[in-house]
Amino acid sequence: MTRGMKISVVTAALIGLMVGAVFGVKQGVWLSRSFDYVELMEASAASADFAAEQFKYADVAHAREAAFLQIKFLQLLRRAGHDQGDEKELGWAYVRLAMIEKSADQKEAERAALDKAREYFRGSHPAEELTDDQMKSALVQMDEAMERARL
Amino acid sequence: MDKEWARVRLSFLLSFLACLVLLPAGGYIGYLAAGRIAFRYEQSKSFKTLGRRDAEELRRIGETAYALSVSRVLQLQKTEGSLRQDIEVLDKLRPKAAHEFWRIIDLRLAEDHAGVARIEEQANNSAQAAGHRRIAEDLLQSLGWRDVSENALNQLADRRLRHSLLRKTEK
Repeated sequence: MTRGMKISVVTAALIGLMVGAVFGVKQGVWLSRSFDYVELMEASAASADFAAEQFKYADVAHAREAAFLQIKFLQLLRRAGHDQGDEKELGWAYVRLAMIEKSADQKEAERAALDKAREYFRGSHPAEELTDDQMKSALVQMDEAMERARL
Repeated sequence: MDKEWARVRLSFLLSFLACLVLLPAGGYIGYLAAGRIAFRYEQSKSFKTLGRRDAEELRRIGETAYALSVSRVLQLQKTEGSLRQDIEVLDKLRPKAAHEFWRIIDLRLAEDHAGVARIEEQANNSAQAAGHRRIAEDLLQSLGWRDVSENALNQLADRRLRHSLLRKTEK
C-alpha cells in the first residue's frame, strides 16, 4: 500500500468519526432533553394525581401533605425553567390546598392559599380574574373529568 | 509490467475497500461515543439553575417517576399477573426511590393489592384475598385514608380494574 493510499484510508476513518460525532452529539443532547422532559412530565402528573386522590379520600393532614408535595415539586420545576412547572398548575395546586384548609376550618390558611393561587393565575392569565368560588368549582370539575377519563 | 500493474490495482482496490469499511465504521463509533458523552454532559448540567442539591433531588424524582410510569404500563393490562408483577416492581423500586415519592408508591401498591384481593375473591380464594386486602388496608391507613373498609377497598379495586376483568372472572 502506497503512502497516499494509507493517508486516504486514515482520512476516510477520520471523516467517518467526525460525521458520526456530529450526529452523535445532536442525538445525545436531544435524548438528554427528551429524557428530562418525559421524566419530569411523569413526575408532575404523578404528584398531581396523588394530591387529587389524597384530597378526595385522605384525612386533612395527609391531604395537606400531598398538596404541599405537589406545590414543592412544581416550584422546583419552575425554578429549573421547566414547562411542567408553569404558573397555572401551581395556581390549581394552591386552590386544592385552600379547599383542604377550608375543610379543616383554617380560614386564614385558606385565604392565604387562595391569594397565592390568584397570584399565579394572574401571571398566566392577566386578563381574567376568577372569584374564589369559580376557582374551587373549576378544580372540582377538573378532578371529576380526570376521574371519568380514568374509568 | 503486467504483474506490477496488477499489484497496484489490487492495492488500490484493497485501500478502496478499507475506505468503504472504515468510513461507516468510524461514523458509527463516532456517533455512539459522541452521543454518550453529549448525553452525560447534558445530564450533568441540566437543572444547573437549581444548584447542586436541588438538581440532584429533581433528577432522582424524575428517575423515580419514570420507573413509576413504566410500572403503570404493567397496571394497564389489568390482569392478575400484571398486578402481581407491578407489586414486585414497586416493592423493588420503593427503597431506591426519591423519599418524596414513597407515599405515591404506597398508594399504587395499595391499589394493586386491592385489585389482586378482588380477583382472588372472585376466584373463591378467600385466604389469599384477605392477605392482600390486609396489606392494602395497612397502606391506605398509613396514607391517612378515612375509609379503609372492605367496601371502600372493593371500590378502589373496581375503579382500577374498570370492571372488565371482574366480569371476565365471573364468567
